[in-house]
Amino acid sequence: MEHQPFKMWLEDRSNLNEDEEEILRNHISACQECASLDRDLRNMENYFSESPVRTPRAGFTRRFLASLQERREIEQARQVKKWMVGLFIALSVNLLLIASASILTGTTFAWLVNLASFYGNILGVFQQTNLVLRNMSLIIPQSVWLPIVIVAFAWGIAGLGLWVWTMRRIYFTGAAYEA
Amino acid sequence: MNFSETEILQKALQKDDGAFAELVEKYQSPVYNLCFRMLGSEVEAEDAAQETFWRAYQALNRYDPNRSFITWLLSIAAHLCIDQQRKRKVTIIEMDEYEDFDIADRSPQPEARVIHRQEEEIIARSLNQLSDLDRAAVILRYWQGFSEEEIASTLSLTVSAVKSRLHRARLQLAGLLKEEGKQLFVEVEKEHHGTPAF
Repeated sequence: MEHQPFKMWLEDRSNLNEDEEEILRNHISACQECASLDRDLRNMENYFSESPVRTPRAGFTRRFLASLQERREIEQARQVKKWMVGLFIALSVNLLLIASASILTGTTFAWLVNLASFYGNILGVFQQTNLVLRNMSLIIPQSVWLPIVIVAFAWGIAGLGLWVWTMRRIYFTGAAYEA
Repeated sequence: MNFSETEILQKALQKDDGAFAELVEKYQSPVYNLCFRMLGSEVEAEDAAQETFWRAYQALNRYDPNRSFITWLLSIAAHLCIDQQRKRKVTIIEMDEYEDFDIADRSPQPEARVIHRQEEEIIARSLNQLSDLDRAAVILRYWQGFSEEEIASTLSLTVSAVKSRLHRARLQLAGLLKEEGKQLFVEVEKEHHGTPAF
């Protein structure tokens, strides 16, 4: 006996129209194999439809709220750790680059001289910048440099605000940015 | 989504813990049920449900109000459970968990309680035979009453993939329950006749 399309119909009976349903019923009454499949599927439907929704132990919400602060602190610590690791990696890479450049130049003594020279240069840049700014303030009229200073100050304040906002966000939601 | 739920969500978006607690209270059962049916253990289901709400709390600002909140929430829960299953590779169903199952309201008779517990065990064993995604689809279909479109949205699948998975899962479950039913019948008959020779 041909079992198709009856097997397919049995597996998705809810979409059948009245005529198809009638044809299927007639087939089931004559076909043992399809009748068996029909019984198994109905049995399965009964099992699942009668099985209740499992509920958690009483106090689920209370337990969630109690864990909220702890979760925030853990997430905050995780974020701080992530930032620290990032900073450490960045510093390490910089040091490695300096060290590599210095090592390639020759002996350990030369390496130490280069390192001292590198930090000396950085210090020199700061000193030169200081001089340049002082001279610029003498050369450039106040009407020009004052707005520049104000803009730079505003950027600084905005940066500080962003930092405070990020810290606050980490504290309240446990994340600095959307995951 | 009704108006009050929209209001609660708005408050929760403003980091109002009380409002979020209302959402937890309202949706704890469907989330816990999905986790329990996926993981098969009350302890793991509790942890997974708590983690689901924590993840939802963190990602609430990414929730699209045009989408059903329960679909979004169960999507987090389903993916969390699937990840957990993949991590532990082997699924272990702790049948002792079912001893605490409170069905007193539904079946006050001790005999009915036993039968109900056996049925729950059979369901758990059968579900455990399915793949993670098939199991999630079946749970959303039968306990949550989700349409194929809603299941597709929850599990990040296409509607045709959901149809195919449900079709396969139903046939597999029907076969598994048939076998389980035969075994149960033999066990019951053994108990009645009190002889292993039966």
